[in-house]
This record gives sequence, C-alpha cells and structure tokens, in this order.
Amino acid sequence: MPLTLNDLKPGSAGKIKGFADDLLANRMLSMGLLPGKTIEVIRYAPLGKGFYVKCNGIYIALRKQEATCILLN
Amino acid sequence: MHSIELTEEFKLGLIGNPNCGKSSLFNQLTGINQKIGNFPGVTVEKKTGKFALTNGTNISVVDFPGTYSIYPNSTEEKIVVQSLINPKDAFHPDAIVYVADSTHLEHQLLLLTQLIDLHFPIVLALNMSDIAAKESIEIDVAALHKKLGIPIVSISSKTGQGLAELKSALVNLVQNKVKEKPNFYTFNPIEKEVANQVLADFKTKNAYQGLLWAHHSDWLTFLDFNQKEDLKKIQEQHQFNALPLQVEETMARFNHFESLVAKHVKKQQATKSNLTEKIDRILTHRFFGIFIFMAVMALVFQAIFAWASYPMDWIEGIMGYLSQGVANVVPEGWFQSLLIDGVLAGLGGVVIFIPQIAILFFLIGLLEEVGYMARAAFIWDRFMQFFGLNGRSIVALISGGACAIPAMMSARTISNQKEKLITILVTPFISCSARIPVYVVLIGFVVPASTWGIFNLQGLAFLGLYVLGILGALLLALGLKWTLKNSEPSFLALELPTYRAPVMRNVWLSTYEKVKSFILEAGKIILIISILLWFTASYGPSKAMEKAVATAEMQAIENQLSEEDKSNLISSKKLEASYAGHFGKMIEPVIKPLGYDWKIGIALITSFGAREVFVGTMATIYQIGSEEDELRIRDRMALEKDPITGKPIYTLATALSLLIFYVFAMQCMSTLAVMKKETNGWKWPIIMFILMTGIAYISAFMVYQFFS
Repeated sequence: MPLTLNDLKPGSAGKIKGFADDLLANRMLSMGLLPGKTIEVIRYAPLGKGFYVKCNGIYIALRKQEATCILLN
Repeated sequence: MHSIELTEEFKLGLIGNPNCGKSSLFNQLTGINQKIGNFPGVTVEKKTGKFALTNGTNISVVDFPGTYSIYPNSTEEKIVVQSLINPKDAFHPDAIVYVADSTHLEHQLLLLTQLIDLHFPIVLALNMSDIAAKESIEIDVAALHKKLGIPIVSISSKTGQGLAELKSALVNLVQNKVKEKPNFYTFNPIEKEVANQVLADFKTKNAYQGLLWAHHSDWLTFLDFNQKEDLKKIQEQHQFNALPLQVEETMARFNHFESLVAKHVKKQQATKSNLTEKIDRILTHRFFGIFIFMAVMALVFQAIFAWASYPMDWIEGIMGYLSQGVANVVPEGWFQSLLIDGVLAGLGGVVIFIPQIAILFFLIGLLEEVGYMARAAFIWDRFMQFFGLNGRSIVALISGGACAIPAMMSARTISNQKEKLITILVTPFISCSARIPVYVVLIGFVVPASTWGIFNLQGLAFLGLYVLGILGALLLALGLKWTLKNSEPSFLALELPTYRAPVMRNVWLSTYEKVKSFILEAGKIILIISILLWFTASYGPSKAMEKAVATAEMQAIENQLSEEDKSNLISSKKLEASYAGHFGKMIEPVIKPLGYDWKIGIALITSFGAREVFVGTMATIYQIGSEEDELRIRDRMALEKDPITGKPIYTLATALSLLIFYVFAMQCMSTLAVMKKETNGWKWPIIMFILMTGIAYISAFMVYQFFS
C-alpha cells in the first residue's frame, strides 16, 4: 500500500508525490495541491472521516476518500 | 427584465477563484444596479449588473461563479467554461477582469493563464491590496506586467482603493484592440495537432479554444451531435487522452507562474494565517466546534423565530390598516372584497416573509463574509453526506424550523447540484412556525394539559411533531440520494478561507437582493394563488349563494341573533355555499377515511394559501368572529356532532390524523412558489406537492384507522 494523506496523523506532514485518481487530481491541482508540495494535516473533522489540511499557504477541507487519493513520498 | 443582457453593450466578465473578493468588487462597481437570477436551465446563480466608464461607455458586467480552472469540476464551473469558450454564448464576455487575492497569488493564477491563452482582453485586478500591505507582501507589479503582458491594477474591493485605476484600465481595454501575444502554455505535439485541426475544422477563435472544445466535447451543450462526433474522431485519430493531458497542462502552467510569483512577490513569513489557525483550533474543535455551531444556529433561529415577529406584527398592522382604508374608500361589493381579501391579503402574504428573509440572509451573509460558513460545511459534511446532503444544508434545515421560504433560498450557496436540489426538496418537511397555530388547536384536543415528571405532556407532543418532520426530511433525503442521478462527482475539497472582517456593504446588498428576488419572482405566484383562493371562497353558484344568505338571515331573525352573530352566521353559510364549500363537499368522500368532514375539507383547501389559515377558516365555519381565540375554536369543535350518528366529529383519532396531515402535507403556496423559483421550473414543486400530500394522506389514514 502506498503512503497516502489518509495515513497521516494530525500535526504531521508529507510531500505530495501524485494522485491515485485523474478526476480528483484535476480538482486538487487546480486548487494548488501540486506534486512536490508539503501538505500538513492540522486536525480531523469533528465528526470524523474528514481532514483539515494546510498546503501551499491555504487551508483545505478534504473528505477521507479525497485524502486517500493523495499519494505521498 | 432582460435589459441588462442587451448585446449592444460592452460585456465584461468578472472571473476569479472562490474567495478572491470578486463579488465584493462586483458590488463596488454596480451598487444596487444589479440583478440576481439563474443561468438558463440550471440552478447556478447568475449576477449581472451595469456601470458606466468615465468615457461614457456602458458596461454590462457578469459576476461569474468562483472558478479554479478551465477544466471544471462542478456544474457551476462548467457554466463558466461554457460561456468562455463559446463565442455565441449569451454571456460570452468581450473582456475580462481577473480578480486575484494578493495574499494568495501563488495559487490564484492558473485560470488567468488559461484566459490569456484564449486571447481575451484582460485586466488583472490584484485584490485585497490593503491586507497585503498590512502583511508586508510586496508585489513587483511592473515586472509581472512585463512577464504576463497584461495590464495589472492593485485594488481593494473593501475600501474602494484602486477602482479608478481599474476603470481607466478598462477604458483602454474597450478602446484598443489587444495585440496578439504568445501563448503562456506551450502545447505538446498531440495537443498542437488536435488544437490546430479543431481550429481549422470548426473555425474556433484560436487554437487553445479549439483544444478546449476537444477536451470538453462530451458535455458542451452548444455542440450538436454531429459536431461532437467529429470532435471524437479528431481525438481518436490523434490518440488524444483528455484527462492525463489536462493534468500535465495544469502542472506545467503552475510551474511556470509559480516561478514568476516567487520571483516578483516578496512575502514576510505569514503571521496572519496563524490567527486563522488559532481561531479554527476552537471553531472546528471536536467538541467546542459543534457546540459553538449549535449556539450560532440557536441565535439565527431565535432571530427568525422571535425577533422577526416584531416587524411581522407591524406588517400585519399596516395591512390591517390598509384594508380598513380600502373598506372606507371603496364601496362594499365584489370589488372591495377582491381588493381586501384577494389583493391585499395576497400582498400581505408576500410582504409578511420579508423580515424573516432579511434577517436570515443578513446573518448568513455575515457568517459567509467572515469565512465561517465554509467551516460549518466542513464540520457537518460527514453527517449530511450520509443523507445525500451538503454540510451547508444544515443551515437550511435548521432555519426551516422558522420558515421554509428563506431556508430553501439559503441552499443557493451549495455548489453540488444534486445536494442543492435535495436540500430544497426536503426543507418543507421541517415544521415551520406557520404550523404552530394548527398544532396548538389540535394538540389541545388530543393531549391532556397535565405533566409527566417535569415535562408538560402537550409540550412533549409538540416536540414529537417536530421530530416527525425532521425524520420525514432525512428519510426523503435518503430516498432522493438513492434515486436521483448524480450528474457530477461529489467533492468536498473545499478551501477554508482566512478569517476576515466582514465587508458590510456585501452583507446588506446580498440581503437586499434576496428580498428583491423573492418579491419579484415568488411574490407574483403567491399573489395569483391568493386571488384564486379568494375567488373560490367568496363565490359560488349564484343561486346557492343567495339561498345561503337568505337562510342565514331567516335563522338570525328566528333566533334573535345579535348583529355580530348574524354576520358570523352569514359568513359561515356563504363559505359553505361557495366554490370552496362545494370543493370541500366534493372531496369529502376522499378525506372521509382520514376522519374529516366537508368542513375540514374547506379548511384544507383554503389553508393551501398558508397553513395558519386553517384556524381562521375553522373560525369562520363555526361562526366565531375572531380567529384570535384558539381555545374557543377548540371548544366549539369539541361540540360538533355527526348529523347521522350523533357522535362527536373531532375525536382523538380525527385530531391525531389532522396533526399528522399537517406535519407532512405541502400546505403552503409560498413554498411551492419559491421551490419553482429555486429549481427553475414547475417539475419539482408539482412532484413534491403530490409526494408530500400523498405521504400526509397515507400517514393520516393509518393514524385514523388505528385510533378509531
């Protein structure tokens, strides 16, 4: 299993390697989540299955399945 | 109504990423000279407006929905892209102001570079320059201008700073043809071949537009079947694999402009962003986050439920005063009755919603402006997702407890079409304040006014009805989630904007626009239905009406009734003889299994205008002059006996059945009118009317049969 954003605990960060899904990749890329960027999980969503992340100077809310498609180095 | 879209005017498009302050600039440019509607055929909000340049050119401006890329991920973005790459589109701009947040330039320029390659005359407006200055962000505008080859203006849509420069840049844009520039992005060999072939075959404006037609050929609605087939052939011929190419292109563009930004924008290590992080430590906290959200919603609910009641009372007072005035001026007769009970009642029925709409949208606008709504969507996403709804739906569902009208309108900010639709459709199930008078009259029948421990039983029954409405809404949402087709992938991937002080102008304008669009669009439907209802309740076959009045007068003399009792009796007999009375009797066989007689039938028909009319109609039928006294109506109803069996009509079973009916039934013309406005057609209001009435009928039937 490749390392994905979903494996990160709050407070830890990783470097984006690529995306597991072209359609979601399109969305992430257009928001500035690019390969090579550092992405940090700040906290989980209050009701679970969601991530509050920081990347490229902006804050983004992601669902679990979106986090799973972000591959990390 | 369509004057704003006149084609002779110069058409300017405002384009930018979400949260770039684009709408704020739109408000600065147009003031109240704007109109909010939908793009044709979809429920995507369209804002158009007008302003004039110093040289007298009239500009018609479209504030397009926030968009990240020319490769769209949502219906909203698709609408934007379609307008941009179809020169025949009604909203295809002659020029573009690209708005970007100066404090986040490093990821706001993707779409700009794509628009440059579409050869639009374009001005880059670096917005929020006041905040950028505070954060010591230095942008080398001259160097960027040189590299991008387009005019650049620093502005603040909050303070209005730089607007004059922006307008004079626009004067230049209007007057001068822009020179051809080299493309920002260099095509790879496949892209080049495809783009050039589409350019040659379809005579697109330029090669990049041709490439985009190829990328989007499967969903562009302006292409006909043959064109799509031809585009498909071109793609196959060149082994054009759209998605990976889009990813490649996007990354290449980012690499190019990021290096530009890195070179020409100097940033101190951000201190401001930490503030947002600190605030969110509490506002999106596992426990406090939910608690604070509930507290905020309690405040919103309190505002539309309780505070709005003051202006609503004033409006009722004014409408009563106006009716009195009309009664004094216009001679008694059908015309006076039409004016008072048809037109004024209808107008009152429209105006009465204004306080609730205004207050709700003021508060939502405020929360949206500071950046809190995105957090609410984040917090509730998982729960709402389960029911096929959006995190933002929770605002609609909660405010639906006061009134479905503003609540449904609040669904506008949901960008996923399916989630938006489901939110609009299920909100009317939530028990609104208009159901309260009906519940009060009927609960008094069913539930003894005693207590059970610390709980008042009637209060518990009240709570039960609310829970029933919420369950109905969530179950229907679940059903719709499974049955409705998903036209677009569902994303959260939501930017959580930096917290900022609200621009009050934006809040006021959005409130004003919501009220205006409600009055103009839903208002006329409400007025028409109101007049129709007035007609059915005041007119009947003329012989029957005359006879009714004569009988009533005779009975009044026989029983030596007072003037007041006499006129109450006449109203009651007239209502019975009216078309509404006939309809009531006509539907009696249908509603008999629910335990209702024709009198309740009349009330069901008249209370379609608004649920609370049920109480008023019952008052008229039972010759109680004033509808104020709900207890009197209840007592009078308790005395009512079936003429054949002699048993009381309003038994426990009937009252319960009516209660359940009012929980579920779509007894509100305004809800239908707003649903028509928000879903862009009569399809959904008709389906929901049938569905809700059906659910109400079946559950009322089961309750009645069980308890009788």
